[in-house]
Amino acid sequence: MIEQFTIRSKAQRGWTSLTAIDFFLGGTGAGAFVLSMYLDLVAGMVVGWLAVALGALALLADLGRPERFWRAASQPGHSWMSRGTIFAILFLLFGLLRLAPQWLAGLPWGPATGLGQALAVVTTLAALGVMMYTGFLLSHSPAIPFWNATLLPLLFALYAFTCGMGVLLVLLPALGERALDLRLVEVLAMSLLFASLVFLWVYMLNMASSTSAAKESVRLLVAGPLALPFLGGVTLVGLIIPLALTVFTYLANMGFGAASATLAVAGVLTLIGGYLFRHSILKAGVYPPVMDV
Amino acid sequence: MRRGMVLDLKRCIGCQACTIACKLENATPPGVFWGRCLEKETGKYPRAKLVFVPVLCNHCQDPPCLRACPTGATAQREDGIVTVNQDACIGCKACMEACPYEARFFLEDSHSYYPGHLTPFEEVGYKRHQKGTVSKCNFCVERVERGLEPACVQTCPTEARTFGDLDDPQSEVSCLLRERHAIQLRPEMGTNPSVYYMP
Repeated sequence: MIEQFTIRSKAQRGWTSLTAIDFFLGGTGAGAFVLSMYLDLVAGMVVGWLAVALGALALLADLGRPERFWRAASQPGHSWMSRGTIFAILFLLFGLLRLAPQWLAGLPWGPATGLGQALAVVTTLAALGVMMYTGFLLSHSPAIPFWNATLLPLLFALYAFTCGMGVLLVLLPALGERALDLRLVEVLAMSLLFASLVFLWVYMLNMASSTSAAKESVRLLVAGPLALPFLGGVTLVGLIIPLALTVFTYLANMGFGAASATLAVAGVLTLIGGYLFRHSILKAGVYPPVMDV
Repeated sequence: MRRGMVLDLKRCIGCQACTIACKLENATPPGVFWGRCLEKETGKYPRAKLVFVPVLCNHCQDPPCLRACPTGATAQREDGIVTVNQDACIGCKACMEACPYEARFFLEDSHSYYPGHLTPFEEVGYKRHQKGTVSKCNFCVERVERGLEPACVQTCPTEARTFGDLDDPQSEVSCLLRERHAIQLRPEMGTNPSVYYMP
């Protein structure tokens, strides 16, 4: 309570681990669904859809008054939380419709039909909304300088695709050799992991030369109490090691069994790093002092 | 009309009378301080001193909390006072994250300040605060509508707080802003607060 009566930078405390879980599941699920849809992987689409649904439940659990959740979609004109709610509802609806022909014969919107392709486009747009809205939600307000950057929604979208790829890597051994072109998966994984690593650290360098509150956020992440989850979890475990494993499988030209097992490990590590990314970004949100004295 | 407040930091002595007056007027539960006085020690011995800065909701002209609110629970009146309809609040805390001024509070639980049962005052007063929602200073809007000043303004023993119509050039707040240099908190954030500080 004493902290409430001092003039100093303060870390945000409103959004916690449950919020990070919601962000992680929503982004990862949407990313996995979109990648799976264009790689023609039904299992990946199902897992992605379920992850987004679970993320929505996590969001409900995070609300102070969950029985009023239906109000969350009522201000799309100015609220990113409203827009995200609408994107999530549209994704869950259109995603389910897109999956339905797998189990219900005779539906007029099969994947090969014009209607089915239009449905794929609409579902992709809704999924992109789910992937990016959390970044806009954080970046929209000027209150927390570390979040208040145009790059943040792009970083969240990129991480959503990377974690979605992580889901596919985890599923790979179960899917079998014929389900996917292994070389394509390896190139896609390497590209997304490398891009995420570069983009994340470009963002950090940008913030390190920004306002004092943003610098404090960076300090928390690289030299403070969040250094272990961020440097160890997000960067090393979540990006560098999976990237190394993926490059190794690409260069080693292994058989499907060994390659898919290695890539599955890379996938698990990517997902761990992906959750810790959202967790760290939220925990590192620092308000500047109300007045410079 | 644009209701606002001017705070004279040369007069504020950090007595926290405003903090207590706000609590008494609004019956806020423990941990919720719609208005309070922040302090910071500056300088070094023998020239160290305490700086006091009273803070409350700034009732910004461009409130980021209103833009963040997904339910419309946060709204702005014609006189500029930003209010929260607790019946519409879902407790998502987006407004708390958006506010640069530490002005909003999430109510997790309404327990007593004293061990055991709620006091009679708390039993009546806590009915105005819904668990799981966010609340903040509303410039004592019920008092203002009866022609009174906010409780913090009336209570301040050094008359460091002045309340009035910023759009009225003859009001006391407007006269103060003409006579002395005044600042807003964190003007670079573009919120255009209705609370001014005279250093």
